[in-house]
Amino acid sequence: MIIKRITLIVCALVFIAIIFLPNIVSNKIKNVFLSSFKYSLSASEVSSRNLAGLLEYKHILESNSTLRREVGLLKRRLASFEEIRLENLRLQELFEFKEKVPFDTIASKVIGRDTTNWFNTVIIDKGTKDGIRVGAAVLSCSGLAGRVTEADGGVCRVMLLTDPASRVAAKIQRTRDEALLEGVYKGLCRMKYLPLESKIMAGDKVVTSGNSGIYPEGLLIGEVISISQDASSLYTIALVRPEAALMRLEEVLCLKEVKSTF
Amino acid sequence: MFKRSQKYFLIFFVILAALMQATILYRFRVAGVKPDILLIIVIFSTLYFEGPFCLKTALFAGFIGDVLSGGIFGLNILTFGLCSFVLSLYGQKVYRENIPIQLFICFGSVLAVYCFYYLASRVFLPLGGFIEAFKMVILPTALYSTFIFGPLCVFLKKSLGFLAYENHSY
Repeated sequence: MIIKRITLIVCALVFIAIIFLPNIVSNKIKNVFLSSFKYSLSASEVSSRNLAGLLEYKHILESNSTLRREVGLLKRRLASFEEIRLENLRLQELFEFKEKVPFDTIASKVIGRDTTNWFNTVIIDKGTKDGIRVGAAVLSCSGLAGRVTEADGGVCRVMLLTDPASRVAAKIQRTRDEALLEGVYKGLCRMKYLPLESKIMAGDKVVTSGNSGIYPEGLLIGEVISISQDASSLYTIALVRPEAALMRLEEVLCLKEVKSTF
Repeated sequence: MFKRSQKYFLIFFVILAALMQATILYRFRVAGVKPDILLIIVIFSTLYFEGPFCLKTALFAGFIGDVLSGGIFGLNILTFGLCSFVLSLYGQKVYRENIPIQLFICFGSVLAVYCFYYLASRVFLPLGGFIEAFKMVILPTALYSTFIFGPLCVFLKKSLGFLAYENHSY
């Protein structure tokens, strides 16, 4: 009996001592025990989460498919916003170019291309109703693109510079040599009938000469990339890369009439 | 006999092919050319449909091709029509279900149609020398179209709901 009472009293005293232990000591003891429980606690937590996951499997599947749909929708929206942003940039560039060009122009979109591989023509969404006439020069924001060959109320067909049937009176900007620029396949142009004594070099800029009466003088066409002699050795030929990205045209400017200030 | 719906579907595919040819197909250019899927459909219709209908399809495809092209109006009608006519005449003499023969027919037809188109256009338009045109347009188009012909044929057969020997009468 006495031993039992002593034990009880000791236990009570120990408990009281533990309760009234200073914080530093009690925290130390707690931390020692807590760190020993670390791995078992985390394992238990993970398994409890997994268990909860298993219990909510159906709900998770539903939310997963909903989230996937939302991600798909947001991706599509993002792509369309990106498309709008790029279009905006292009239009801004075109607008800035329009401000610089001393002609009355009308902006239009490319809506179609030639079905065959023979011709390089595009269809644009503006026509005679908008003041475009057959023969009007067509520009992109970086240079001359071509001319209108067919015009209807709401649509036009534009023959690009690279069309094999295209002929433009052009000159080398630096040397002032005039020649005829014709389209060749593979998106390039060929400048024919350049004088043999011409001092042209690769990299020279080619502009319209204004002699044809179709294109105003001084419109940038492209850059000389190589020079060779004709088979008959009567004249020089220069291969010209158009400045305008004709294969990727999306928006163009059609010339309506020359402004009085020009 | 062919079902009417199959014929309507083929006409629908001709219109779809023409629209694709004029819009998105230029993004898939290889060696500067795009495959001529309109012509492929004409060849397909000649191989798998009866004479009068395939000729009408060819003329219709040529008409749409001409409307959307900057070339001489009527040349596509003429070349497609001729191609369909010649193929339906001589096609009976070859075993048309053989895939290599089909590819050969496609390659030969595209070459012939493009050569004829070039020669006819040359009368009216300056298209450059024949060798240059052959190397840069005719041959690449024929090769690319032949490459596309197989998968497109399978797609058309499945879409039109008939396979090689079903509903097929020469």
